[in-house]
Amino acid sequence: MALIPSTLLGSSNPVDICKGFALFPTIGTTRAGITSGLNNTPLLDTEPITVLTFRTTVNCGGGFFVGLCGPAYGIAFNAAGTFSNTALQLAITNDAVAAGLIFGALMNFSFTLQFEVGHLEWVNDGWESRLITRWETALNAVLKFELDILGLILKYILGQIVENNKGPVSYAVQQTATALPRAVPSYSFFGTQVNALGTTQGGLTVNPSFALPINIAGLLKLIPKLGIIIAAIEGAAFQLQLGPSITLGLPVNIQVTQFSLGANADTTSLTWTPGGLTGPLAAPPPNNPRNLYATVRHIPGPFFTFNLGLFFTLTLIRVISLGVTSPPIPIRNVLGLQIDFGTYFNRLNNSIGSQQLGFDPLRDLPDGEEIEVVFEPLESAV
Amino acid sequence: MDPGRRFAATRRDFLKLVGASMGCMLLSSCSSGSGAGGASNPIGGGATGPPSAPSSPIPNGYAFSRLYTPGDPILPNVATLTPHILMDDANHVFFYAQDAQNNLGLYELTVDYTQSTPTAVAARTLVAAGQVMPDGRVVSTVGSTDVNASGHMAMVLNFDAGLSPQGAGLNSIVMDQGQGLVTLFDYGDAVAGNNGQYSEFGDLDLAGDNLLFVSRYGGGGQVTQGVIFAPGEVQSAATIVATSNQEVPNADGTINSIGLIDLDDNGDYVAQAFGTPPLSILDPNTAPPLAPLIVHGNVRQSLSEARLLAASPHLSLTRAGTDGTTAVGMSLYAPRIGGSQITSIVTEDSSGNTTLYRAGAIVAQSGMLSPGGNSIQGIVPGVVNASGLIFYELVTNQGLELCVSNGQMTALLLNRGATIGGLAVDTIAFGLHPTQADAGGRLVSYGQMLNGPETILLGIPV
Repeated sequence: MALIPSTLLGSSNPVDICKGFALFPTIGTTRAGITSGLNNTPLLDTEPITVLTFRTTVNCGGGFFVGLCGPAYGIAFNAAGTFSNTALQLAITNDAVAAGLIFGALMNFSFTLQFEVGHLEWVNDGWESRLITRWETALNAVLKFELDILGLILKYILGQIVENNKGPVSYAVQQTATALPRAVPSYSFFGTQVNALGTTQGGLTVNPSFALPINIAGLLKLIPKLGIIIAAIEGAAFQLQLGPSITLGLPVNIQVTQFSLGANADTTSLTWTPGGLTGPLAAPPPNNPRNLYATVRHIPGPFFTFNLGLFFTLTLIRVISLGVTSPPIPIRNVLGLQIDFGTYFNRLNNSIGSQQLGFDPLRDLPDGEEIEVVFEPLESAV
Repeated sequence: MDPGRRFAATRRDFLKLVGASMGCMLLSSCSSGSGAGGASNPIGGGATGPPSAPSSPIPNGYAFSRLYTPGDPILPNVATLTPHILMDDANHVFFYAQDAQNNLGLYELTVDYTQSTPTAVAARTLVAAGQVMPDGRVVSTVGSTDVNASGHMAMVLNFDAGLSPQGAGLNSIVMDQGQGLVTLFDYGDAVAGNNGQYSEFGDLDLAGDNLLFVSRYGGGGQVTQGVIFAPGEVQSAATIVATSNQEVPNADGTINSIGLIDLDDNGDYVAQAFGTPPLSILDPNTAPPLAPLIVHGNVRQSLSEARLLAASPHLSLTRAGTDGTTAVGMSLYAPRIGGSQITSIVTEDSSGNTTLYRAGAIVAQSGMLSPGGNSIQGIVPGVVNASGLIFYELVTNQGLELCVSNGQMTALLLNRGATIGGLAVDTIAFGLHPTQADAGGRLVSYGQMLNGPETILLGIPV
């Protein structure tokens, strides 16, 4: 049996979704990339509404600028073991798999509320004496903002994403340093599994998901300039509900399906154990194989969703209500993402014994051909 | 400038009417109806839906008193009232008001009706801004409220995101039964039928021990807004009655969002909603047309079996919807229900005419004469009590009038200039909450006295 020293295989080390494999690769692109897009939606524009002796006019609209990296997955693990002409045995350690996406969203919203008081005045004009209504503006609230909506509601997303996804996979929502267009703050949403490949048959099934409508009027009060306006609106007995609705569902199954030592020395099947795997080889491996290869299959689930929407409701005690909900906007349409469901394969490889992923100038190029250079002595001139 | 203090003055201003004084008295007389001719001209012109359903006879008269004025010794810390006032069938009146520091709070008065003039003899604070809940969340505002006949108060509490524990739920539905607040439904709780998690509570209504409320929730890869019925206020027994994206009954279109609701003791409800017309070709730079509608259904039936009481002209009625039972017009005002399926709705047609319907029959219409003999210019949604009487307020060319109708007769109860406790009434703001008249016909209203204080008015049938 020949030894295979510990070899690092993976998309990146440490695992990074943005450096991983795209879940929906387009032609010529297997790696995750950054895309962005903008959407704006007018929501409400009313004629004056009169109740008692006051009238109200409302209009509002909003939209999103979204930057996205992924959806994608990353994987990394160490493999060490032995091989013979007919079989391969590997111990898998330090494995990590993560799937999800990184995105940021700026939400813009504009809302104007004009609130007028009617005063009846008697016009003394002989036979044409009459009461007229004189309207006086009592409140002219203009609420306009563009802000990092994810930063504002991150904790509520995390609460739901964890609540909805109980199991061996852990889920995380956190701010990242990924550079998105317009310097939109970026946040990663992913499920991750560590040191478990041996117990999960070499795979990971993850579904970071949440569906969250959230009224941010209360959160906007924390922003001083906006808080004053909202307090004024509430002081006039109105209740304001506005916010985004975000739905994300990213079901995906990732599975390491094959190992190879090159030259058709591929495993024909894999038997996983808690510590690693064994597998018969289709052909004898070459002498002194230089590389270890692994094939990873991923199958995005058919229920992939990623939508953004807006809702708005203005209520006066329990006598008047105006409400509108924008239709959910599929982000893939905004960003031009092509979604093709199916089964995808990616290949990992590294020099046997290497703990570096990518080009390592300090190591011999395993596929380089050795050239002997002989400096022949100059022929004698005599 | 403190916005709350500035707009407290403005709120008082907006309720004040300057106009000719009337000198009409408080007492109602059983007039033979308004200029609309009593129970005539049902919706659509034909005899439709539940009959005009005469209910209890209209009381012979009403006596009004000033129950509470901000600063009264019974509750000295209240500085400014709001029209958010309601009452139960026992002896309690509830109101939402501001203290001197502009903090909003919900208060309860216990009324002694045995005295010659009903008197508030006890008071307590149910909840106030800044109050800390057992889980550490801090109350910011109170949203929708309702009280049942026994005095149990359900309310939506909105919490201060800055002072509450980070990531804690932003709102919840709680109940007060006299011994502190009990949470019934909370942000993040599982929605009936595993349909997601509650996120944003809207309007609610309480009938007996049954709760009906509106909530947005997320789950199953989508965000929905629904009307949820919780018999016995028990979360595990809750069912979803109607949701957004369902088809509007008897009209082409789907429900986009849900507004105000009301529930009676028989499980009948009315709900205001906003529809999305089908196949709308919209200019992306223009807001879609507002398409409000009102449905009348029962919590034990599906939405498809509900009746469409009113629909925006932007929604096309199906053949079933053109049987004359649907009023075509804009219905931005709250629908109400009480008694035996007695509904009250207000619609505005394309000509700007506002109409008040009681059980499908016109009670008042702009341009017609009010019970006080004046030209009606505006109408506030009626309050329907358990006896089927509808109390409503009219804006006329001579001022505000508080009226009552039993479907066959209407009467004037109170108008501007009437004297209560030595002061003349300047403004009445009635009907901004559906629970302002009890089964016995007693009612509460916000009032503003001429050159005097704002007050809670109490009307007792005599």
